[in-house]
Amino acid sequence: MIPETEYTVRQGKHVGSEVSVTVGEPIKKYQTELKGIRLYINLKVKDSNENIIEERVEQGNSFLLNFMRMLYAVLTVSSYNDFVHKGVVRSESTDFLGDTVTVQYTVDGFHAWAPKEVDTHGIVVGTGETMVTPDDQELEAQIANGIGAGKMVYLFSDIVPTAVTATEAYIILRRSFINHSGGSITVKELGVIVWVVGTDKYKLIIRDLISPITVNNDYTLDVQYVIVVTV
Amino acid sequence: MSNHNMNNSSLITGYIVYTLKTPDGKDILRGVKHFDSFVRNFMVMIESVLLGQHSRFTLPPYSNATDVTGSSVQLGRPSPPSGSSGGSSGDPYFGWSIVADAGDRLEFFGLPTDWGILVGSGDSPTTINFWKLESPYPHGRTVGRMNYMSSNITEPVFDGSYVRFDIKRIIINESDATQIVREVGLVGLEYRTRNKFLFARDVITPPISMPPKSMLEITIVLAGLLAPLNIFFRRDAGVGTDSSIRSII
Repeated sequence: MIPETEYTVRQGKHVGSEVSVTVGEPIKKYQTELKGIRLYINLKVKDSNENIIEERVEQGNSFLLNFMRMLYAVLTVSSYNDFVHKGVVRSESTDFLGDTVTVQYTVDGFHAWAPKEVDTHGIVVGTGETMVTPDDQELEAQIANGIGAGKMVYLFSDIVPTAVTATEAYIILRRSFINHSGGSITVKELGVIVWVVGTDKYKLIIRDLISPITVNNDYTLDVQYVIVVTV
Repeated sequence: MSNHNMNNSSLITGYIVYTLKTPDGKDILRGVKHFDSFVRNFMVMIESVLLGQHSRFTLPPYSNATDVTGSSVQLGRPSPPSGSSGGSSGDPYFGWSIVADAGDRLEFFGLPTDWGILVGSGDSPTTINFWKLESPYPHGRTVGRMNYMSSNITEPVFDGSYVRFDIKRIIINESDATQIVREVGLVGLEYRTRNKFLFARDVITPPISMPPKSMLEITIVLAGLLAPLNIFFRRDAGVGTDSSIRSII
């Protein structure tokens, strides 16, 4: 049966969020609270006696294309012959921003945790302030692990298991950074790098600019990334 | 988490774009809504992927997920799949597929058909611990069933505004009766165990009434917003709600 009105759904530019009809009133603007996978950043600066000097919560703004590629990689796995798709084995490999990652490289996961003093992956901090772009591959100016000018000591980067509230499920990625540089350091950017074990590559999946936060000598910066889904 | 009471400007969200078609392919209804109910299993999946495993480090145990049978199991710590010779070295521990092939083809190979994009008739609100569709339509051609066709998925891209990928599936009501779709779910089949996990589920309001032999094309868009872009525009001739984008069959 013919519909009452003709609709067009623009799936491309606006990922299906824009629906227009051929007849109607002026465009209405909606501010909606979208649900989905959200990101928050908890920041805490502590002095050498563990006293909290500054504490704040910021919005995480930047799931990168690499994050979606990781999701894609783990949600499209198949290589058994009986998982063929129209006679062609699907998703034997996927391009992971320049690296061909076959499915077997998901064997060990995408490590977002890291041992202490390892600054190649896990949560990382930096001093860059260039705007985030979707295909960022690294922090603009990552602070290296260590003691000395411009460095911070990276402690263990770990993941708190999934917890739930009445309407949410969330995990927390957390890491602490100690400033033994001899001077203050101002952190302006954060990120999460995963170690793709199978390829021994490191991929930035989240990068955020934050309001600058100063960490004095011998002070500690605690960073928590909270990833939340809400129903 | 209640202390995070603020508008969030970055997220990975989802949309369902659905089109109901006549048997000859003519559109009779189009709609779009948020696909916004990722459930706990999804977060457990993210947790297990980001934690991974390591031969030298003893990692903490992952949280358990709940499969569609209600069993509480650990992701990524598989036992060999039933009916197969088991995984060999190099098989992925972390991997699910949401890209289901046609139900008929899966049946031919003796594989489960109840995964990928699925629809059902239940309309209970999704809660965070949902682990299956409330009343899924199994694959088939008779009343109470739907004929699930193959799925198609696009590779992740940045389209200028979003980082996204889309998955699409066509579902046909082959029965001689009108059937109502009230819920849509995304079920992942774990690569090695062949356990199935509901990752997201949404209730369609108002429901979609599928006449006999009609086809329902469902596209789920998973899109990451990089900037505060959660403002969108909708030109709407009716009452300014999602309900007005429907037409009468």
